[in-house]
Amino acid sequence: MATLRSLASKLSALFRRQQWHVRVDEELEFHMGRETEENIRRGMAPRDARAAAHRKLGNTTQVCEEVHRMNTIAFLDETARNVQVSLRTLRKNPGFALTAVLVLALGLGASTAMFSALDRILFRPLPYADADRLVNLGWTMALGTRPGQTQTRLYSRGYRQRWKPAPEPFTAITTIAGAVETCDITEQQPERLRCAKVEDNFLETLGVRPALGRAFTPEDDARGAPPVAIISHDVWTRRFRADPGALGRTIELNGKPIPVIGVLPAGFAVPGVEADILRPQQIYPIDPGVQGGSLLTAFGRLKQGVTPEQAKAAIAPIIADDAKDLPHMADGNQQRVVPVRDYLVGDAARVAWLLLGAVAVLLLIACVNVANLILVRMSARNREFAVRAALGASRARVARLALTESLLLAVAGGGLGLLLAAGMLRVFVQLAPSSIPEIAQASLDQRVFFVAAVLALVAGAAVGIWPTLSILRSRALQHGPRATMATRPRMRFTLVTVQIALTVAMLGGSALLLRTMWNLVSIPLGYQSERVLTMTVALNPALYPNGSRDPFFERLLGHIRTIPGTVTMSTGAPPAGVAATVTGFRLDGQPSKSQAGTPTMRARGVTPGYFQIFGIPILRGRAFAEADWGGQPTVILSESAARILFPGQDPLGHTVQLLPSELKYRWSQPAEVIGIAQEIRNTGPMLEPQPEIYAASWWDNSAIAYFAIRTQVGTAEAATFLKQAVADLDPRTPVTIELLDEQVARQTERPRFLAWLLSAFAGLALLLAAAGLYGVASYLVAQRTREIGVRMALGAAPADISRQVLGEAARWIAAGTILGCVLSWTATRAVEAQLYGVGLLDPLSWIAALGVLGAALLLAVLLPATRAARVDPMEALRAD
Amino acid sequence: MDKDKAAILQGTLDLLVLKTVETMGPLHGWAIAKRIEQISDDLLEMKYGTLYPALMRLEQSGWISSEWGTSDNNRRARFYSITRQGRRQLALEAKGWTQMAAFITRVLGTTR
Repeated sequence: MATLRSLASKLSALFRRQQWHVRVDEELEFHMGRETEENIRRGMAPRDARAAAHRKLGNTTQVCEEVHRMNTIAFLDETARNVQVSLRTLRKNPGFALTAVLVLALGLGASTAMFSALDRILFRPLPYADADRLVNLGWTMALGTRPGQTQTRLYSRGYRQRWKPAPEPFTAITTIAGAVETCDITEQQPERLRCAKVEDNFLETLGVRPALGRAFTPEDDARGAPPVAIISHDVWTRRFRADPGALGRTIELNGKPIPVIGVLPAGFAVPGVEADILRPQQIYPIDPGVQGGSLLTAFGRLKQGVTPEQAKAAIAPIIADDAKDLPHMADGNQQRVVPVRDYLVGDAARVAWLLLGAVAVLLLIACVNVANLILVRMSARNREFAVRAALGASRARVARLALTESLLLAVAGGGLGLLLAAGMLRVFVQLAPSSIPEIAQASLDQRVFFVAAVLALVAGAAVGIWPTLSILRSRALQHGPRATMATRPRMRFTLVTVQIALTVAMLGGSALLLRTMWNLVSIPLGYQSERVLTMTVALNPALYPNGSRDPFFERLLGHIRTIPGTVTMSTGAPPAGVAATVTGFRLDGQPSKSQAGTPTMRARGVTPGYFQIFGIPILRGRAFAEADWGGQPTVILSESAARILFPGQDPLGHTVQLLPSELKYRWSQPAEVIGIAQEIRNTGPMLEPQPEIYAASWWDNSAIAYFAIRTQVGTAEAATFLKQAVADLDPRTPVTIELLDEQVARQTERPRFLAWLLSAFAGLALLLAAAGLYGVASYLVAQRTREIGVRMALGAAPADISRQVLGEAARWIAAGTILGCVLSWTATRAVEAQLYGVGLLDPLSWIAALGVLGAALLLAVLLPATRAARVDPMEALRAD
Repeated sequence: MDKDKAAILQGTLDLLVLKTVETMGPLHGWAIAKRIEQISDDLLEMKYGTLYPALMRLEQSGWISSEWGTSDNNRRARFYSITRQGRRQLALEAKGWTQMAAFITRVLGTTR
């Protein structure tokens, strides 16, 4: 307490130091006057009186100094002075200061931007209580258009018996039913929202309480119970102006007024899906007479101390029971129990870590670069430090001065880096693939500022530590300025080597990714995507009951066909988007052995013209004709489908019947195989094609139809025409129109994003490494001017001198490259999962990477080498 | 420095100053110096300069307070007076000093 108070008074004294000085001066002055008067009164001559008073007072300078010391905190004072000195020296070397700040800003800015972009994925706490104990469980199924993209589901039939009450080691299990569906607010200011159907214990299991009102009860969730809704915080503020009176009011969804019983807390997000409104599932009890069920997304809360792996082992038999109700559930699918964060982030975590790693390497290179710059400057300042030491500064004191300078550089670099980060973040968010979740919400907030500040300080300490160490070890402080000239460049050599090594890894990784990108661009898709527009039309089931949808789409198709060009309508997104999956067949009236590994096949109902629009060749038989649409059932098989269903036979003329699928499509007449179509990449460019069955028929009552148009008119005009065509029939129905080219590009956006970003990073790294090498080489040449002069005077040719400099640089480059290759051996494993069609040891990539590196570095040492050759021996010898 | 005059013992200046301002009420620096010298019957030799840092240290410790006033010769001077805390400190230090003095006297008595 006493020390605290004394510190406080010291601090206040520190800030009022000037006042104390004025005061002590005045007091001493008064004292002198009074004493002189006294002496005169005692009979001294005025001059003697003053002198005597002065003698009696003692050394006033010492008094002032003591007062000064008394009011000083030595450390702060020294730091303040160090900062002043450093600022002054930096201002005198604007070139060095600017370079160092810029390089640090680049590294820090990129790291900050990357951190803020990926924080939500990797680090930020999830909006659920005890999220570590929350897991996602079920069967993983390959759904989606990228390799590795899966969804985890349970089957609803039998779910209650198996999972209620929650089996060991869970305290609770809850589910979201099916897919999140759009639901329309149909009162004033209509808008389209997303509704998720959840179990009554959903919020409780996630450990979330409504901000307002109540959660669902089992009564709400029973089949036939009166409908209720819980709205998101956003909907509440937007539509109810955050009025607590919203509870008990109704919200009109799909034409039905539904009472609002609760409001979700701000910041809450339904795991894995975007939903504005929660509604009870109301699917239980399932009528035993009714077939089928739906897929559920399940979450469980683990008991304390249980790992997901233990839980997985414990419930494996229960998950396996799903296959009793849905036989194909176990085919090729795997059981999974993973923490909810893994579920949310999925395979994006790998990409996120890869990016963080890359940016960390970039920051490291930037730091090494600046450390090198400082080191070079420090040796130039050895003389100054020696003088300081000679004047009584301790080693530690000189080292602190040096460290202050690097910290100042880092602070400036960090500040500038934040500005850069704001810009870079905007670019990241723009470029980032949609498959990296949450990236759009990234912003520079407090958390990011904090991390940026810590990074800057660490970087400052890191770039300062080597130079500071070198001062502490330097002999200059002992032997005086003359001894400094021959300091060994080993530390600089190490730093340059490390930089080169890191750059090799970066260049190699980005070369592999660039090749991946090239491979992806040049994949033969099997169809032509140029100048094709796709349109998705989704009807609101509430406005279009069963029976009214098919006629609507038929009318729309007729309407659109008036456009010059070819038009097709299909049940799945053409030609490589979502499509129905079929697993059960009857061939020529005989059930196919689905257990014997019949793979899932994609099935798509298409109007004639489909193959023509996408340029898919028909290898055998014929394409659909107009008469097939709505006529005798016919199908066309893809090559692989034909091979699998009719091994060793000619499929033409045989019949295929799709068995009623558990998924909601119903269509089951024996249909004649009339053609074999060439395989296309029908699940995305990076995935192997799946067997596909095309039918010249329509799934009854589908609420969504997909159109594709290849037209001679401009795409913008065509889009306007399509929108108008739908609006003419029903202006309330939303449409999505896209260029197929863009859709295809989006499916490869992740590798492209990675390739560009890593290449940019690698480019920066290369630039920094080259600059670092240039700096060190120039410095060495400058240091050795005298030696070079002597050698030239003794008859060395300029070429010999250049060769010597180049030879030395070549040794560094070689060492760095070798170290880099060793480093890459492990480092490039990080990109392995992102590669396509190229191995880690792809010779072309590595030759290109090393070639670029060699060329850039050679260029960097060429200038110092020629400068060395141009040294004038006379001048060199005369100097110093 | 006169040989028969004692220099102020390290650490005792604070005690002397506190005691002086306690008994004499508000005094300026010169008067405090004079007073200490006078009480010591001029046996004490002190460099007046050392007084001022001591005064400021005591003030920063909160044992004395000060304000500007007018001296007997009509000049502006800083007047120091003791605070409550200062009185406590004085009592404490006086006690310590007495004990110490008694101890030293005893030591000197036994070895003589």
